[in-house]
Amino acid sequence: MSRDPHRAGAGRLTRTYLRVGIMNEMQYRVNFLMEMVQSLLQIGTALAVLGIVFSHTDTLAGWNRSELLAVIGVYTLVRGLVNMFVQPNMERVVTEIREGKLDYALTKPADSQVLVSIRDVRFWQITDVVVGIVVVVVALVQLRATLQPSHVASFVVMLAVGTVSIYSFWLILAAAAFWLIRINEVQELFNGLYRAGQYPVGIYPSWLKFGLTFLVPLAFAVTVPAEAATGRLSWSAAGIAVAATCVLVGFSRWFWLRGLRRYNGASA
Amino acid sequence: MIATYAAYARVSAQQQFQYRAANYFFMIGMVVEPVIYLVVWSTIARSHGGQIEGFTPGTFAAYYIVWTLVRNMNIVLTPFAWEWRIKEGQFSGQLLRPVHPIHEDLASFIGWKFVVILLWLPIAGVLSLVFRPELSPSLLQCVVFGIAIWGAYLIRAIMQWSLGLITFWTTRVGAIFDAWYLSEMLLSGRLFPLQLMPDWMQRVSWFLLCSASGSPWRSP
Repeated sequence: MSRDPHRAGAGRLTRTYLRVGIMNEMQYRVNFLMEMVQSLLQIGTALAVLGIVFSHTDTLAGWNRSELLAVIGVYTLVRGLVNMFVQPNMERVVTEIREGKLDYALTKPADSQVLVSIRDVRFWQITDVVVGIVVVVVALVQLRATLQPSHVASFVVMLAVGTVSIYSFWLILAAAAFWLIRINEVQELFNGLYRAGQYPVGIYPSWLKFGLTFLVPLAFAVTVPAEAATGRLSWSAAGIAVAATCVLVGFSRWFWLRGLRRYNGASA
Repeated sequence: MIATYAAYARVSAQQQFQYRAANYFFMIGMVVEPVIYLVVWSTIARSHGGQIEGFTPGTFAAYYIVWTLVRNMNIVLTPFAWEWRIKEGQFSGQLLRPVHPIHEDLASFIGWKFVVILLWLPIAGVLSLVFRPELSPSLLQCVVFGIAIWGAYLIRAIMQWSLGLITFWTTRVGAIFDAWYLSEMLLSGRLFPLQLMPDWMQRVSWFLLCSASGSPWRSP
């Protein structure tokens, strides 16, 4: 089977859209300050809650205050990555399916899933990424953790795996619009579910833990990278995270293609 | 005016009822948050001999399950919607109508609440089966709760409407709104019962009326 010579490669396409997206965002520099204020307010609230929780206890399901601080840092960091790259694209897909405007993406000579996943970048959400990294570093200093290269490498790998799993989950949610049409509220659903990630999934009852691991992959997105950062991660947990993410990527791809077959478009 | 409110509310309820899946998406997103805190505080209570500041896992379950209703009943037109209205110029059309725009906003959300309450019942049933709440209110307490929850809706709706008016002067108000929301989250009992807060925070909460739109109950 020969490859269409006019079809754009995913790597080159991603770089081009990323560059254009960042240039676009750079025009609105005051937004950086606004996002920074919002990030600081949110982390301030999370720390206040942590303070109140730990004014009543010393450990929460085996996690001490500094370890939970690392979880909050990873939660903020992943939220920044998702808000920067994933959420704006998926919200746009949901709107375009409803309004029948997805045709504009489908008629382009590129893979539809790749194209709809890279068109928007909210670069200033990087403030959450920076704040998240700072909080993780503070937590590690409090834990007096000796930072080994293997911990850093496993943290980075698990962070990438977790972000991909969240992307796949979001793609499934967005593709549900092919059947349900009006699901503008899907972002509220995601934001609500994502909040569960600010605590390690181990504290939840077993049925909820299963749901937050295999249905909504928060365990892989937040808890596993936090375990990697604090040196609590086992090889088996890492293996399960990678395997489950591969399955999720495959399923979301299948679900997207299946949904596309139902799409009529506004001009059809 | 009552007929106007009834008309707006009826249209809104009929419209929202057509989008049950979308409404469930929205409600589940809202319900997850109290469930998280229910699990966190129940875990702490269990590790401290079964209760903390008078709250047992059963009373925490009652607090947060009632809170899922309170949370959904307190959804109002947000200042972010105002930002969109003003930026897109959508407000001009509403100003031309013979009725003040606040009435449409209040009445539409009132209509939506009836759909929300209906859809909330199965959610509350499942949560009660899972978390076993300890709650035995008297008839009078139920009546007072019913009045209080609608009053809380009005207080929050008017507060948020007033806050939204800032968008007439500047449309970049995300940070101001966030500051409001986050303080409200902390001080309204949304994250945890007010009794678990330090004394000074409880006093600030009562002074700022946050608790009026938030805390669904006060323990004796």
